[in-house]
Amino acid sequence: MLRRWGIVLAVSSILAACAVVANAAAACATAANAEDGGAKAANGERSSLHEGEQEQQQDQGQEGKPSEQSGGQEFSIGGTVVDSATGKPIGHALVVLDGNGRSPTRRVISGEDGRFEIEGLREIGEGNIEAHRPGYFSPRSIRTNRYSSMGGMQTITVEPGANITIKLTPEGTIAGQVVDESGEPIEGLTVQLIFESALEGKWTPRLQDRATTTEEGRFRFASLASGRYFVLAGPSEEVASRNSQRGHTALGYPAVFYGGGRDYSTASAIDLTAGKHAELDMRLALEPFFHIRGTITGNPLPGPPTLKIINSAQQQVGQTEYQKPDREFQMALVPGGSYTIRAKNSDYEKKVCAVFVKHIDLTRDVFGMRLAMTPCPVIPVDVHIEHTKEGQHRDSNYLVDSDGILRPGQPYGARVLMRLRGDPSPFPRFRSQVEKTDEPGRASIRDVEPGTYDVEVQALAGLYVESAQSGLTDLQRDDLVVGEGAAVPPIEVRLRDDGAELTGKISGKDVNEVAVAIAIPEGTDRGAKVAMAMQGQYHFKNLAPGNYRMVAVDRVDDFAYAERDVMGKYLAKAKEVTLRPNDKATVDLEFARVEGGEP
Amino acid sequence: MMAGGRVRGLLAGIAMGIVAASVVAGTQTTSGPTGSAGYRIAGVAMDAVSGQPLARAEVSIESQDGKKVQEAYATGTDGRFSFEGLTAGRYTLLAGRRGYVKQAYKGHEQYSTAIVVGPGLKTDELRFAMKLGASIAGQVLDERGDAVRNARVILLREATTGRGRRLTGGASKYTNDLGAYRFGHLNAGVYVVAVTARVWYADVSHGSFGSAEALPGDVDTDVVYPVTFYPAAMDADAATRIPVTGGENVTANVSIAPARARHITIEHQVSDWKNMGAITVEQYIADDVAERTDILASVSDKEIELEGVPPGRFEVVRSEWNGKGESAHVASLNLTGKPSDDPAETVIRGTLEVASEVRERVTTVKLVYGRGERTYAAAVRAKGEFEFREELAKGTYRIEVPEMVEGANDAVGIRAEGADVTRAGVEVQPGRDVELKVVAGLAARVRGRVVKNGAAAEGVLVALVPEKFEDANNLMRVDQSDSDGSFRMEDVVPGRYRLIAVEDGWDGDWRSAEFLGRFVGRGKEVEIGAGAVITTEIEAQVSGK
Repeated sequence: MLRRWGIVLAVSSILAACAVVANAAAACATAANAEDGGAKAANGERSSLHEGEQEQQQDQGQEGKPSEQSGGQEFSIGGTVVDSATGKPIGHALVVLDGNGRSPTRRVISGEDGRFEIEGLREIGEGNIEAHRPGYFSPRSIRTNRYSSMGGMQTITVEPGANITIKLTPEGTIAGQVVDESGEPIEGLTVQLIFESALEGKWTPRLQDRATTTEEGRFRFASLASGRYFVLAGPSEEVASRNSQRGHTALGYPAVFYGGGRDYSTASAIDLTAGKHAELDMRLALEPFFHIRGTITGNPLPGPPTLKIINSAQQQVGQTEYQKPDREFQMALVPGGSYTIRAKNSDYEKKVCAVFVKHIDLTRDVFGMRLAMTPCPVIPVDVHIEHTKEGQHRDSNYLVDSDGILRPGQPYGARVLMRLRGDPSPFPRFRSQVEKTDEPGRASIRDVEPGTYDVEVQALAGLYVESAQSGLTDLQRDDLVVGEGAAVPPIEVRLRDDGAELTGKISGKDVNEVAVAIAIPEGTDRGAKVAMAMQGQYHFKNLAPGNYRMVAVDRVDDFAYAERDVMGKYLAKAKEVTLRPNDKATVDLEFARVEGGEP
Repeated sequence: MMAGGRVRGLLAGIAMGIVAASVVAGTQTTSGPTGSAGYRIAGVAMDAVSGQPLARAEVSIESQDGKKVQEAYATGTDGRFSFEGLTAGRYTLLAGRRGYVKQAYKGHEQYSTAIVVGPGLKTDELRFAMKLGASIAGQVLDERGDAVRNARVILLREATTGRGRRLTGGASKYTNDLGAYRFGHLNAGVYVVAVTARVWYADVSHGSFGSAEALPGDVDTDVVYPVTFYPAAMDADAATRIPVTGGENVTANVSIAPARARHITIEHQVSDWKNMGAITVEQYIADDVAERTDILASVSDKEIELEGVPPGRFEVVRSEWNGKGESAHVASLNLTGKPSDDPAETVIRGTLEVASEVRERVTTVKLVYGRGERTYAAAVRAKGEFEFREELAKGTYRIEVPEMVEGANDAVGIRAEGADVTRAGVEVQPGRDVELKVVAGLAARVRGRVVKNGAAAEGVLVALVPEKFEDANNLMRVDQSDSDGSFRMEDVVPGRYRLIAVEDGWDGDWRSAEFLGRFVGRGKEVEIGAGAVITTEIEAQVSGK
């Protein structure tokens, strides 16, 4: 039998459980986040995750399988590290063979021809091998939900003469130059790289990186995974001025996407495949910059509100200055265009919050703008749990009283996350909180700003979300629109414990290729669940009963399965399944690679 | 005008591109009907060599009188800039542009000419001659010839101190994925490029499971990159100097190779864990330039263990968790293999001469290293004698007379035998004894105006030269006259001096005894007492080269 490390197993079982239903629970997200953390931790846990995989397989009964020979003759294994995009060998890569705690970890560097040789091995058996090289991704990591990602090591049989191919995915790069009308480079301009990620299967821009143009007007982004990107240059601060009778007119560069557009709908996308380099030339022309001045009323707190001006690229621009008294404000010079002005002031402890939101089309200086702040909406959240299984809740880590109602101040059965539509931040804007003073079973989302939100409800392990509604809005299907000054109906969440289990094999992938299974509920583009496959096997727990469309792909970061034109290409390989409460179903899936990715 | 911290900060940040200035420009100039009220600073930004007006130069002013006036203006194609409605006072005028140095008006090192506005002063036809910037760019390559990403590249500048040239710290940058770096907007001068980097395959390996023991054929991951200087030198003295002139673009590729990491154990005592802050390890890049490293320290009751230490000289410092930002010196390490850099017993003795009014209060003299990581005290005897006999590491040590500190009004002048003295302090070589004469007293100030043919002369080099040239390093005070001819010198050590003003003095080697000797004859003799404030007028001489 294989010997293992007890401590390692403890860690891996959390992660493994987490991977099974990625969208599950708080504890899961925390553990997975830890894996996202520092390089050291990530390394360690990645190996431990793999231990878990093996353990799992072992549980599924593999008695009598030949294991190992101890203290045998020395032997060596060899192989080649290759570029997954070009197939060319990768020299100077570090190859790490993890001895699974039985043998020392071995590290060798591949030669110019990508070949490596590990000598002096004594133990025959399974081992984990991986390669690293600056400029390459290794191993391929997969975003299993919004907050975590995981990667897989390659499992090999360590035996005399083994010849192993390790594939590394090359990083992409995007670089370019920004010049003015006369062709002179523009220095010191902020350039943003936006990755069009797929959040819950929908295209969502996410700020990936930021650079400042050099003296030659150049910018460069490296370490990019394949997928769709946008590049946004500007706006500048004032860079020139013209004297006129009225004084001087400020001029500057606006915020412009690569391709010339001012928002995502008119921008040119850059589709990057593994290892590709995109070279962008951008030309910006000076435009007049305008002032905005005005007054704020209804500020409930002594300090001035946070005032933001957000352009059509969802980017905050300029700086705000307050004159005395605090309610008179002046915004930095900004280029013409469509903006959203948001003013907010809140004190969470004192439960005081006021907000103002206004859309403007700026075509000239604006003086005397009036921002009348109103109290921030507070959205109550009621969570009801339907227990169908005797005693189940007693073993769980959430607490309910004899009436089945959650006690205040205790870990909650579900949490509600609100994400502003189009917000490029990877983090949700608002989330539900339980407070001691709240009545039993109720939480609230406070300090909310008016806007259109994608609402996500996460249930604790063992539960699934049966429904989530605010008034007549079904939050599992539709966005929540929060109006200014208007009361928002409470969010009613119903959780149940009679979810279904779904497992299956994924066929058609390379042995060492990473795969994820996605369960997409019928009739909605939300609430899909993602599970990382282990040894070709996926496993979902606590799925809500209903109809699902199932697919297995190599990644989810930029797989917009909820977008009709994207999903169409994968329908042939999709499987449909109907799940009833407490079902234990099996559906085998056919593997597909997300287009635009690795060849 | 001698620059304050702000301008020096800008100069240090030369490579950071045009510093973003506040963009509320213009709003003040147009506001209100009182267009005629207030004063004006206006002119043309132009290339210093061709005289061509410069468009897109970012010109800014800052009030020096503590008022919060700070404006920026970007020039149009005519190169014109204009700040209006200003109150009377002294303003620093700065300009930056792509391809040019970020510079102060008529700037020379840390000296420049401030613009003084007020009744009868003409400040609206300034010609801001901007100097072209240089650049140093290159690639960092590892032992296999591969690009090193995220390597930290430090740019050092060789500065003249009068007693030789020393390296001073400056900007730093990280290499990109191609191993490339670039410093732009550089002043003409002599530079040295230093690189620190992490060994990627060692980084990847740390923290993974299994032992670190290397079997035959394995790559050694217990390695680090020493600080390496262009092109592949192991210490600053051996580094190739890179001279650059305005507008020049120089390529400097640096090759680095790993060295075996050292693991160092230092004995120490932790008496109070509550106040125990972080252990940081600083490495000397050059004699006077120490940079914080990311060397990991693990601390127990009796030991500090340092992992992955490259060759070099280090200071191990412990911060005290008392909220005052204090730190304590733990150890000096010399891993250069050069015994001359080892700390050794060094005797520093001398006499202290204190101005009469505070003489009785003074009982101790302090020798302070760095930011106070190491401080030594010696008693002052009846005739002012003192002696330090300490295990000292190489470096520059400040002399402080603690009982004299009353606000910032004291000045300490040092004359030394056996060591170099600069305004930063005494340069100690371990084992080499030093004889000092320390003069301490309330600092004096010299104020004045430079005139030429009866009119105020701006941009003139003004120097207060001590009686003996050999003290110039430490005692000489220098300024540049502002637009109204005024100059100011603070922190003057009482004594006998000659005041000189040289019109195009900045072009010469003005720190040299040879240069100063040519002008002191026609200089103004001044005897400066403790705490004195001297006001004088001086006629500008012409350098004539």
